[in-house]
Amino acid sequence: MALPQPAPAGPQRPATYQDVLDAPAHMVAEIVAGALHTHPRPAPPHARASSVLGGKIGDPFDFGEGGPGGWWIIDEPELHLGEDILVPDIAGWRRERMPAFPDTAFFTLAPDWVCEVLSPSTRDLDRHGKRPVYAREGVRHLWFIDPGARDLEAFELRDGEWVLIATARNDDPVSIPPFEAVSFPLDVLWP
Amino acid sequence: MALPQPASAGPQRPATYRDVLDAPAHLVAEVVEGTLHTHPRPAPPHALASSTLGMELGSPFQRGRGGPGGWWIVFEPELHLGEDIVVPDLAGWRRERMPAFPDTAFFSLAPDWVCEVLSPSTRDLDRHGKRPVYAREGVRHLWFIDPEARDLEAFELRDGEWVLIATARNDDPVSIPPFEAVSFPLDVLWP
Repeated sequence: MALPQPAPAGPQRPATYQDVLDAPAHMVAEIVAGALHTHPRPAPPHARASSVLGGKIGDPFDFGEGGPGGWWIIDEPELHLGEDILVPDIAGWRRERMPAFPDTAFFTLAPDWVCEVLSPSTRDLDRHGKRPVYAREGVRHLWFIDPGARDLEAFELRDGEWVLIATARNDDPVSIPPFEAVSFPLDVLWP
Repeated sequence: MALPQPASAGPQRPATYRDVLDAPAHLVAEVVEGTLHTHPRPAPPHALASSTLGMELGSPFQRGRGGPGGWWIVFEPELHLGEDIVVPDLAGWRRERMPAFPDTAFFSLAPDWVCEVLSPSTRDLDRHGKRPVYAREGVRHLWFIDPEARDLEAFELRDGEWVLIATARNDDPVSIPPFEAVSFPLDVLWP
């Protein structure tokens, strides 16, 4: 499958980590199926949604404040998964799967949960490039949050396929696995 | 769940078939969860995608030309499903489930396949209002085609949940259940 917006990695050779390191510092650089993709830092509505969600999930599930804890919740981690290099907006690892926080430049263990905030410049890569990679790597839960549509789609991986387990829009309560221990209205994510 | 763009059905009583009949003739009228939704006829890119898909599938699956036949493929059928009245862009029934084509003003048997072409005025209702109705009624296959994103998502209903069984974008070949007997490039749907 051809992927969107391949950056100038050259058509001859697959892009590598060196291309990510060489990308301009103000750009997010990712590699999917051998192609380098660069895009600007998230625009304000995207950044706001991501930041608020990080707090809503991070406090109860990482810090254990108002929730069970037991997770590492990380903003924009760089994931090296096989030959692919991905930077989701937020990812979470159960501490039982990753007891020691890695002291490395990137993560090589696939997360248990990924959230991608869709924006015009990334939605194609998120849905068609990165979603299959997350399935291949066994990421169990994937959320897509769309600040334009003001909605959320939550998928759970079962037998290698994505099952749509929940959707939310407007002020619907968000209480969705793997974070069903808390509930907050979706519209806290919008400005 | 509150639904998008409620039209003037009044907040007091649930909308009924009467409201659909009374809607202006130039609008598509649907009732979901007691709320009347009206929207204009599809814009040209939407209409072209829908028409072309009808041609690609109609010949092999309805007429049996270049394919196995065995289906009724219908453009914008009015479906009465419980209390809901919905008009998908395209729907298909296996003839073994609907041997006689109904001689009525609308369809009351849920289709085996539904395709919704997403547009700015309908995508919210399609994804959040009608998708749950199709699941409740046991529609086995649901395709979402987005002329703006130029992509396709295909879901199959299993145990009441939507499983994402295929996606396509750009000129990816479309050979997806229940119509995997044919293949055509997705980009025939765009101008």
